[in-house]
Amino acid sequence: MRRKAIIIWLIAATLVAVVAWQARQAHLALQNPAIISGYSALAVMIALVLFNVRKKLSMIPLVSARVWLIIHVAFGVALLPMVWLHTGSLWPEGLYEQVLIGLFYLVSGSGIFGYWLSLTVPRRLRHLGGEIIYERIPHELHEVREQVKQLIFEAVEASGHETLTLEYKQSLAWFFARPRFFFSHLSGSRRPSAWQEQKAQSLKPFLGEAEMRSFEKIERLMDYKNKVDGHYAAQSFLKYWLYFHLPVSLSLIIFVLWHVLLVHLYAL
Amino acid sequence: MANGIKLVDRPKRWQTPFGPDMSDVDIDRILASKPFSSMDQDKFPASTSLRDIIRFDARIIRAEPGQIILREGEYGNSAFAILSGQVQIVLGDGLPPNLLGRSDDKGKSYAQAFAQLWQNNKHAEARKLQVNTATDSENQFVVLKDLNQVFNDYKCAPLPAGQLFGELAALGRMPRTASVFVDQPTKLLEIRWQGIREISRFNAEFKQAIDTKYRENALRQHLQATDLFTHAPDEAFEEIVASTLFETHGSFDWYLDYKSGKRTEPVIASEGDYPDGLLLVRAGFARVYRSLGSGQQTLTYLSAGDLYGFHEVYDQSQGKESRLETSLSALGYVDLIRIPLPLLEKYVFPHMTPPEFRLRDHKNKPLENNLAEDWLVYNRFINATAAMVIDLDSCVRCDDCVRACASTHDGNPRFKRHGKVFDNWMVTNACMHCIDPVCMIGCPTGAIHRSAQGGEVIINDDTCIGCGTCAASCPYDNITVVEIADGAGRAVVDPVSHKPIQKATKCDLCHTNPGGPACVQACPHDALFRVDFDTINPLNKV
Repeated sequence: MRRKAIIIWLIAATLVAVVAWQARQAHLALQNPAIISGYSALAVMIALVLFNVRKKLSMIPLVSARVWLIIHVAFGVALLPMVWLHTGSLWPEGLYEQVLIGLFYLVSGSGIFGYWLSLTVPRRLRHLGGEIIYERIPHELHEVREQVKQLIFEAVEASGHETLTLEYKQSLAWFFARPRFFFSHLSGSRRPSAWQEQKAQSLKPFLGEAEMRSFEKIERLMDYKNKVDGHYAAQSFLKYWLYFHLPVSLSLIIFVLWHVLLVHLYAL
Repeated sequence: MANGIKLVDRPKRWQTPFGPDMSDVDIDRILASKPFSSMDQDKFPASTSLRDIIRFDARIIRAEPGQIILREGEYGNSAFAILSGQVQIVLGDGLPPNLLGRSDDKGKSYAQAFAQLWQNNKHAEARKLQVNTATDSENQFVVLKDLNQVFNDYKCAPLPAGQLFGELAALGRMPRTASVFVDQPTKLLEIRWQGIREISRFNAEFKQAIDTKYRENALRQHLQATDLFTHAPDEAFEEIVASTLFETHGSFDWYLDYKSGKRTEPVIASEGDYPDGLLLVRAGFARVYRSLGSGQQTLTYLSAGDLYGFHEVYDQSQGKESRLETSLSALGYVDLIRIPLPLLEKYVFPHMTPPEFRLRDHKNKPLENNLAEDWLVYNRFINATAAMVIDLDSCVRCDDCVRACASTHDGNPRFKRHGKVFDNWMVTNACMHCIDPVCMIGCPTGAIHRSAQGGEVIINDDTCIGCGTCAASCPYDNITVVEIADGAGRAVVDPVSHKPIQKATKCDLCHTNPGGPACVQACPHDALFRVDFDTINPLNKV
């Protein structure tokens, strides 16, 4: 696969060089070089969109998705100099052109960001431990919540004190209700475990022996909940960056097609 | 899912006979011929009478001269009794692929595969609710045109009426070991292996005969296939077969213990024992280990074709005092051939250079290097020929693999992206298409079977009665029983019991799909592989 990747990147680089050379030749021949760079960029954009089409056609062998992803990334990167060649600057004049380049930067940026996520987040997920299917996270949290409630009932029954019940109402219910500390988990901050330690420190002096036994089990469930929250945060990010990248890409394509139409109607 | 239910009779065993046109007259004739004529019909229970076994688990094949009945290398699920005429078994290297009419399994064309895009049912587990007669691509017979040429060019052995053949592969869940064709008009009774199993249960002589033949044939065929005796003259083979022992250790039903959490491993040989012969693995798996502290260090595992004790018996033959350097235990079950030292001294050792690699050399690896193999062996993943392994360091959990699987299976994914994890590797709950597919053992209708060409373990949805035996047998929980719906999404319910109709489902390795497993093709991050663990067995790298 490494050899294939090198070949694809070389082809992408060659394409940029060929387009630049052709545009230069057109410029020297007193023709409009923007036609060559513009249509080349449009062709590459369409090729990039085909990656998503390939995903829908997985029942037929259209080259492995891995090769398509390399093409998507390599030609996506190659598109940057081609577009700059076309616009002649990093930020062109004219409102419509600025909207167009703005969308292009958003698509490129989100694409690069998504690729970086795909390289880094899986390792973080593995280091979190366990493997939790995203769609099952609500079920996992429900199970944890029910276990915590049961432990508290047992503790109250055994001790006759309501300390744990009060603590649950005041803060633990908030913690167990849904995934928490989203951005802390994303950034790898210690805030979730610090919060947990603080709760434990403040509560333990008031717990009797029976309550302590239950609370130790609750602490283990809090550890597990933190792990689930970590999975939720990381997997949400992996899933939802596409929800930004795809609509913006679609908007870009529509704006580009309108741009081509306008150019043909009024500029050529 | 749409509201409402659809009432459909619950499929039963024998609802779909193996052959649709078996008449009472045919059955009477079959029962009067060998080997059935000598069977005591009273020993069969009324619910599984011999007559019903013949009626539902067998079919008559009238073969014309030149017709190929079995093709070497293909997987089959049935045996054949010769009612009249005779068959020819091709010996030696066998017939070439062009004569065997080898062709790919009938799969989907590109157009049919593409059409799934809009033809897949939008309802989960929807079926067309039609029951077809059992089909087996193996029985799309090929005919040899020039029989005289075949007899001139290939060594053949005749098998007369009254004999049974093909039971070895059918019962052992292995590929056919020889091609068989007919050279005169011949009437055969094809019996699917479920029928053979039933007859064996209620007729001790038949079981005895099958067992004896199974052991004899397996022993002979395996010795002929091994490279060990390439220098032995043909006339020595009788002596080799007669002096060699065939042993089975562990249980053929090992998965029952495994599922209940037991990991029984009967010891076959112990470190320090006297080496009285070479052990050759014929089928199954065995673990090689040594004592370390108060535990055991797994060194490697052995599978079909591997040898144990080679160096020790070689040293013995050179007059050195030698003891077994490692221990050996059966993983589930293992068939072994024990070749005595005198045979090796006579036919093997004079023609070879001293072996360099010893099984004990595996212990020179750091302990942590053994962990992965230990884990594979402990979980019996070594049984896999196509385990779905995901690299969790690359997987972005996008589920493109699951969606690709669903898109090639009428909208229903056939695996769960979930499973046991070691380090960054996850072996998911997808059918591993085992070397020893124990899921096939209890299937009452033969719905779960190996495909003739590729040997993938697949389920015939039409003949599956949803009993769940295969799902209960699968040691890896890779078969799921689902409740089906009709094309409109209505639940399909049995009118008598009012319970939903179920079907067993699993990964079929996209065996009819052009391009192979869609899950592998669909992974953009190169994180998903189908792995045959035997190919990464250290013994294969030596």
